[in-house]
Amino acid sequence: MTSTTSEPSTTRAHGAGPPGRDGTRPAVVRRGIVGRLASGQSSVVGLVLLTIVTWTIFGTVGSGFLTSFNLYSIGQLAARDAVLGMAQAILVVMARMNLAVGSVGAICVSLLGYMLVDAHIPLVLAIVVVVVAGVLASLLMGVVELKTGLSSFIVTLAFLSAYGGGALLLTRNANYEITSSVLGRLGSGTLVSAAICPLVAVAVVCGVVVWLVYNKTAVGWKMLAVGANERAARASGVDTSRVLLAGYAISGLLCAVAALMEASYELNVNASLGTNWLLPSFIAVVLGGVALAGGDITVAGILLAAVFYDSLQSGLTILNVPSYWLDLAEGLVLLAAVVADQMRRRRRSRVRRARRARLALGGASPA
Amino acid sequence: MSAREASGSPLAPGTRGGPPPVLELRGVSKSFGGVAARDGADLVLAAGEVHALIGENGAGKSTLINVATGVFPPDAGAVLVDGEPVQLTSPRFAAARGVAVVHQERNLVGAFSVAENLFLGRTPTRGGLVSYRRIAEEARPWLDQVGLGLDPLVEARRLSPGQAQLLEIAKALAQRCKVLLLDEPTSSITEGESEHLFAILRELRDQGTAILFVSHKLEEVYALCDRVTVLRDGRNVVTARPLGAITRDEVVHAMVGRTVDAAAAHDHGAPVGAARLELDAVSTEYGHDGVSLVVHAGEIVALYGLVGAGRTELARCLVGLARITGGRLLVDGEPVRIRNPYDALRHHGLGYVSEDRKAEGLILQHSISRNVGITIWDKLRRRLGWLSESQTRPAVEGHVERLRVKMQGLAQPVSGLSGGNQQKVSAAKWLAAEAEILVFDEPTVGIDVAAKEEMHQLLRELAHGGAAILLISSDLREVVRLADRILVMGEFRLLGEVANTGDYPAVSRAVMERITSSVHGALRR
Amino acid sequence: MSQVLRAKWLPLLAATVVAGIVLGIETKSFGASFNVYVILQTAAFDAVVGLAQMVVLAVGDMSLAVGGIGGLVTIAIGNAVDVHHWPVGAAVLAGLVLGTICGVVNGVVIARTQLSGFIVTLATGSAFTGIAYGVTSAIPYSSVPSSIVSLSQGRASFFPYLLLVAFGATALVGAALRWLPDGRSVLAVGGNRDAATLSGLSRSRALVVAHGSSGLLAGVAAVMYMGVLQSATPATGTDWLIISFAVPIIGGTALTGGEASSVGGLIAAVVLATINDALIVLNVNTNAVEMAEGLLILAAVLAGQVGRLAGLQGRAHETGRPGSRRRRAAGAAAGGAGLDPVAR
Repeated sequence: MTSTTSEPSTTRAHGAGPPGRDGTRPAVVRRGIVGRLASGQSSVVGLVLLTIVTWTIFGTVGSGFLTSFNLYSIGQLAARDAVLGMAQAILVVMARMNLAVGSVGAICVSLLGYMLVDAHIPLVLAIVVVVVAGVLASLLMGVVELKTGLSSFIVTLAFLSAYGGGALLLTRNANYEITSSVLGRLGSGTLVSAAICPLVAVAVVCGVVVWLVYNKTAVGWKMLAVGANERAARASGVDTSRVLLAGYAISGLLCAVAALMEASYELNVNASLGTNWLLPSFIAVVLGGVALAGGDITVAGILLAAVFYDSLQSGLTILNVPSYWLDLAEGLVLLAAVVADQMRRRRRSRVRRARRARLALGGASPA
Repeated sequence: MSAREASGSPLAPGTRGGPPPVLELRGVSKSFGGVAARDGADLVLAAGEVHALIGENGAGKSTLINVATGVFPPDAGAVLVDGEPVQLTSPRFAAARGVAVVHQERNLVGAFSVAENLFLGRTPTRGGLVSYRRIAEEARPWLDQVGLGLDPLVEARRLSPGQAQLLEIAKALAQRCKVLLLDEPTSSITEGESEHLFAILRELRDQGTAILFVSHKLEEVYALCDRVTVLRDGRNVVTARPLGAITRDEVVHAMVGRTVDAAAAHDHGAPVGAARLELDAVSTEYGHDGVSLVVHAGEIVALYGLVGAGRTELARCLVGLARITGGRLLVDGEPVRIRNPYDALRHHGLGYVSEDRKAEGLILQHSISRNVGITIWDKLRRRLGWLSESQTRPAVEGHVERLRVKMQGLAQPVSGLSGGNQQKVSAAKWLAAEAEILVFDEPTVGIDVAAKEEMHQLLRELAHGGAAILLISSDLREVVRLADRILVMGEFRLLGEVANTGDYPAVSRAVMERITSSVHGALRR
Repeated sequence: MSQVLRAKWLPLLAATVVAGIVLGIETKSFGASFNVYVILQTAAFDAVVGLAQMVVLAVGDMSLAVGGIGGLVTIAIGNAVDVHHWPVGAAVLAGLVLGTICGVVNGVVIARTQLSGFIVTLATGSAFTGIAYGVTSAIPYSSVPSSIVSLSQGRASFFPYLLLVAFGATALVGAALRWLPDGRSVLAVGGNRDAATLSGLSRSRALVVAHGSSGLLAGVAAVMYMGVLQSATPATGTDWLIISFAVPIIGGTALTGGEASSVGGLIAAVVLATINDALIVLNVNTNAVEMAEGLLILAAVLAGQVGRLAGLQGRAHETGRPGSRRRRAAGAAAGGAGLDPVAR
C-alpha cells in the first residue's frame, strides 16, 4: 500500500511547486529540518515514518500483525477511509465542510440494496444509479448553500439528518444481503498477492483521479483558488458558484464510491451504514495534512493517513485492546493531529514572517 | 506663504512654563512594506482644545492616530503623555493612560444595552450579580454629558450611527480619558447629528478634554477647531497653528503642496476612440445616485474623491460584485447586465484591479503563475478541462516579464513578493486576460516609488494601445499625471468633471473646490 | 416580555398548538394525558440537551461533544452506583462534576490552540464516547437507582417531573446569561469579539465558562436520559447531535453568537417533541421525524435570516454593521457565506 500511494506525487497541488526549478536558487532551499517539517510535505514524510514505526512496533509486539491476512484487512478498511477522506477533503479544500458524508452514503447503500435485492436490477446499472444518486444528493446541498447563502456547516448538518432519516424511511429499516459475486470479489477477493484487497486499487485510482483533478484540470485549480481566497477568485472572474457545485458533485461521487466499497465487503447492509463516517473522514483530512482553512490538498497524505489510522486500529486489536476502546483512540488521534497541525502552521507562518521581514530589509537598503 | 508652510518648529508649550501638553507625538514615523521610511511627524495636543488634523489621503493621519492609541509602535519617534514618554503597547493600555479613540467602526455589542456597553469590561454588580438598575443609574450622567437622552437600557443596535458615536465618546469619558481622538467622525452621520456632536465636543473642550478632530471637511474644521496641524507625505506642513491665523486657501494649499511635477508629461489631448464603457444615471445598492460617465477607448478617466466617496463601491458594481439598481450600464453602446466578474470578463472584456490586493486581488499562498493565469484558465484548458503548468507558463510569462516582476520564478508564492511586485501580479492577470476595459482601483497605494513609476508607465501604454481605463485614485498627483479627464466623486454622487490641464496647483484647487463646496452646500442645506 | 412576544418561534408555537388541538380532536390518543406526558417528557430532555449547545453557541463557538460528555457521565454514574455502591446523590454529583471537567477541557484546548470548537470537540467527543464504551465494554448498567427513575418517570397527571428540571435549567441558564458577569462576558465575546477583548474581557475565560457549563448541562441531560431509559448505557449521547443544534437554532439562538434565548429553546423543544409525537400518532414512520428535524433546522435558520434582513430594512440602524446605509449594503454584499466554523 505504501509503495502504491507514493505514486501520486507528494508535490502539493496548489502550484507553489518544487523550488529551484526555474534555475534560480530560492531562499526556501536553505530551510533545514524545521523548515521542511513546516512545509506541506512533512505530513507525507511524517506519515510514512509513523506508519513504519507502527508496523515495526505491532509487528514485533503483537503476533499476527504482519500476516497477509491482517495486512489484507488493513488495506480493505484503509481503502474505504481514504475515499471517505477525499470526499471530505474536496469540501475542506473549498473552505467548507461536509457533515453529511455518512448520510449521502446511507442513501447510496439503501438504493443499492433495494435495486439489487428487491428490484433485481443488474449490478452495472445499479452502480450507475447509485453513483448518480450520490452526486445528485450532494449537489442538492450545494444548491441549497448557494441559494440560501447559509454556511456549509448548517446546510450539511440539516441534510445529515434529512438524508439519514430519508434513507431509513425508504428502506423501512430493512437489511439487504448483497449476494452479487462481482461486488463480493471486489471487497473480499485478492489482487496480485493474498495481502492486497482489490479495494486498495479502487482507492488508489480514486486518489490518482483526485490528484489529477487538482493538478491538471482547470476546475481543480479553481477549487483551490476558491478555497484559498474566495473573494479574490470571484473578483478574478472565476465562476465560483459553478466551481462550488462541481466540488459538491465530486464529493458526492466519492461518498457513493465509499458506500459501494463498504457494501462490497460488509455484504449485509442497511441504511445506518454511514453513521460512523464523519470522524474517519476528518481524521484522514487532518492527519493527511489538508488545511482546514482550505486552499490546499495533499492526496498522498490522505491515503497514507488512512493506512496509518487503520494500522493503528488493527494493531490495537491485535494487542487485544478491546474494540470498545478504539473510539477513544480515534478521538485522541484526531486531537493530536489537529493540535500538531496547528503548531506546524503557526511555526510556518512565523518562518514566513521572518523571511518577509528579511526580504523587506534587504530590499529597502539598495533603493 | 512659503514661510508659513515650511514645517515650522513644533510648538513646545512646556518650554513656555505652562503645563505640558496632554499628548505629544515627536518625530513619529512608520513604514509599510516597501515604502521608504518617512520623516517624522509631530503632534501636540493641549488640554481644552479641539485640534484639527488634516491632510490628503495617505498623508499619514491614520499612522499618527494608530501610534497614539497603541495599535502599532512607531518605527521612530516618541509618544509623550503629560510630558512623560510612554510605550503604548495596546489600545487598552493607551486607554488606561487616558488616550481613547472613537473609530468609524463601532466597537459596540449590539445585543447589549447602551448602559452596559458603556461599562463593558467593568460592569457594576451588586452581590456578584449584574445590577441593571445600578448600570442604568451610573450610565445616566455619562450619557447626559454627551447629550444622549435615551433610555440607558435600550439595545445598542437600535442606535443611529450618530448616537452610536456619542455612546463611544461617553464610553471613553467613562474611562476618564483626557484625550479623545475622532477619526472622520462626521462621515456617516446626518447633519443634525453633526451639529449636536460639535456642541458636545465644544462642551468637553471647555471642561478640559483634549480633542483631536480628523476631517477632510474644512467647513467643519473652521466651525469647530481651535488649532490645526496639516500633514503631507508623513511630515508636518503646518503645525499647531491657530485657525484664526490661517485662511482656508492657505490650508488647502498646505495640503496639496505646490511642487509642480516635472514628470507631468501625459499627452493630454490624445486622440480618443469610441465609447467603450458608459454609465447612464446609474444607482446602486450602495446608494449611488444618478451616476453618469463615459470612458472611451484609449483614454484614462480618473475618478477622484476622498476616502468613503463611493468610488470603489461603484467599481464593484461595474464588475458585478454588487448590484446596480437603476439606470443603464452600456458596453460599446449596448445596454448590458453584468451579474458577476466572470460575466464581466468573459462577455465584455471588463477587468477590475482591486484596491484590496491581499483580500481581493491575489491568492497570496498561490504561485505567481497561478495568480496571473487565473483569468485565462478557461481559455487555455484543453478537452475535458485538462490544464497544466507547462501550458499556462508561456501564456503568463510574457506579461510577468513585461511588468518586470522581481521574483525567484513563476512558481514562487505571491506572499513572498514585495507590495509593488504583488500589485504588478494583480495587474498582470488582466493583461493576460486581454481585458480592454480596465478599472484600476488605487493601483499604487503602498508600493515604492520605482514600482509606482512602472505602474504609471503601464497605464499609459495600455491606454495608448486602445484600452479604456477608469482610474480610481486618491493621489491627486498621480491623477494629474495620468488622466485625460478627472471626475470628482463625493457622497456617492459625481460632483463634476475637471479638465486635466496638467497644471497641478490649478487642477488640485479646482478639485478641492468641488469637494469642499459640496460639503459647504450640505452643511447649509 | 415584549421580547418574548416578538420572538421568531411564536408562529411556530402557534402552529403547533393549533395542530395539537386539531390532532387532539381528530385522534383520541394524541390528547390523552399519558401522551401529553410523553411529549413533555421528551421535550424536557431535548430542552436540556439544547441548552448545552446553546451556551456554546452564545460564545460564538460550537460543541460536537455534548453527546460524548452525556455518554461518559451516564456510565460514570452507572459505574459508581452499580460497581462501587456509591450513594445516589454522591454518584450524581460526581457525574456532574465530571461532565463539567470534560467541558472545561474542551474550552481550554480551544482557547489554547485557537482552533475552532468544531474540530476540537469532534475529537474530544469521540474520545469521551470511547472511554464510555471502553470502561463498560459496551454493556449497560441496568440497575439505575430508583430515585433517578422515579424522578424521570414521575408525573402528576400529564405533567412530568422532568419538566421541572428543564424549567429549572432553562431559568438558571437564562439568569446566568443575564445576571452573572461571566454570563455577560460569554455573550459579549460572542457578540463582538473585538469590542469585548478591547474592553478587557478574556475570550479564553468566556470559552472555558461556556464549554464548562455545556458539560454540566450535558451531565444533567444524561441523568434525565438514564432515568427515562432505566439503563445507563454508553450509547447515550450518540444521537444527541442533531437535537442539540435543532433546539437552540429553532428557538432563535443566533449561530453567530452573542445572543441566546433559553425560553425559545424550551419552546422549540416542545414543538419538536410534539411534531415527533404527532407523526407517530398519525402512523408516520419515526424516521420521517429525523428528516423533519433536518428540514426544520434549515427552515428556522432561513426564517431567522429573512427576519434579520426585514429587521434591517425596517430599523433605521444596526450597530455591528457600522456606518451608513451604504456601508451596510457593502457589508452585506461582502458577507457571503457567513459563519464558517473551521476557517477562523
